[in-house]
Amino acid sequence: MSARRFGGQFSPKGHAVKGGASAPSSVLPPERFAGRKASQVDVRGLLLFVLPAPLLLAAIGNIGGGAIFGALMDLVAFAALMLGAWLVREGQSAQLAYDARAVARPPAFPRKTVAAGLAAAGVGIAVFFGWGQDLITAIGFAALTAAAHLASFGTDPMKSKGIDLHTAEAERVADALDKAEAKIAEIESATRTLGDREITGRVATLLASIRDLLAMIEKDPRDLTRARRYLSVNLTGAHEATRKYAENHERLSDPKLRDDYLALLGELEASFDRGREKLLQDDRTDLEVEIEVLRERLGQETG
Amino acid sequence: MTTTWVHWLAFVVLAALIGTSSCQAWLSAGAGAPPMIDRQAG
Repeated sequence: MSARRFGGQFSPKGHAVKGGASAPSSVLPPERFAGRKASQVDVRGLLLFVLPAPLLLAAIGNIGGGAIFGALMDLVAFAALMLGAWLVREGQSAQLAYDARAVARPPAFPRKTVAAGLAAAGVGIAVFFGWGQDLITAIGFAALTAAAHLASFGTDPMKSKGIDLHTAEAERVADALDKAEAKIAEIESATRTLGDREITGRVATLLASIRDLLAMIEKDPRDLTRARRYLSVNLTGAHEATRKYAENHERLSDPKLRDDYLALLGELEASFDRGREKLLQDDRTDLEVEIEVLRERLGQETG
Repeated sequence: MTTTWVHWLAFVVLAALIGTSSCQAWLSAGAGAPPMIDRQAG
């Protein structure tokens, strides 16, 4: 007896079937999460948001005591520490994205380093104005804070990585990958606003195909020229269609519009799969030609 | 990037610095007199 996929009328991708029974389906969707890393939650990053809380109470206490300047300084210190905590989290996600890619440029803005500076400033202000210590002690606290911050969270990646990143070609590849990933992120966020499980599933499958294609370009940047059509026309098309559908689907509330959009997603997915197969085929042809040339050369040398 | 014990140790120091300065600022504010005036007087 073979296993049957669970599902019914109200399950995702479920179909109403006579008698209420579900349609057996052995076709599983392609791996949506293939090649993607789970997002990591760093407890340290979260704690940084909690630790400065007493500064808010200090500001309230100072307002109660009529010390407006003291309250203002407490709030400045609090704001610096909170902004720093937010920047650390941004820096950590930028580093995860950098680590995940084979060809990457360093982040344009050194978030973690600036976060260390903000934490140092926040602690220095709190020690000098809030606690009332002298300037030397405040500077000492600030310096120690910056050092501890950098030792705990590290610095931002400063170098480009990947093959021949100094060439204009590699710059172009990194640029194209950045733009493609920005579009993917926008498609994902537009889909989330729809709250439609079928569309979310289909879009996730489409994005998995696109990510596969991007991974191939990362491994062999020569593929960019071959894949340019898919990235410039198809990805832009998917991006535009998703954005417009998300903007208009509630206002128009036309089931045909949804069907058309789903059909478009299917076509795009098939197109990206074809593109990926073509790239694989081209790579194989290239390899075959190279092997053939080497064998001929070896034959001439031995002969 | 994995978090090693060195990262955690540095974080404990960082948390102590932020926590101490914040709590001391709170205590100073809670004492009634603004800290700037205390310093000038004392």
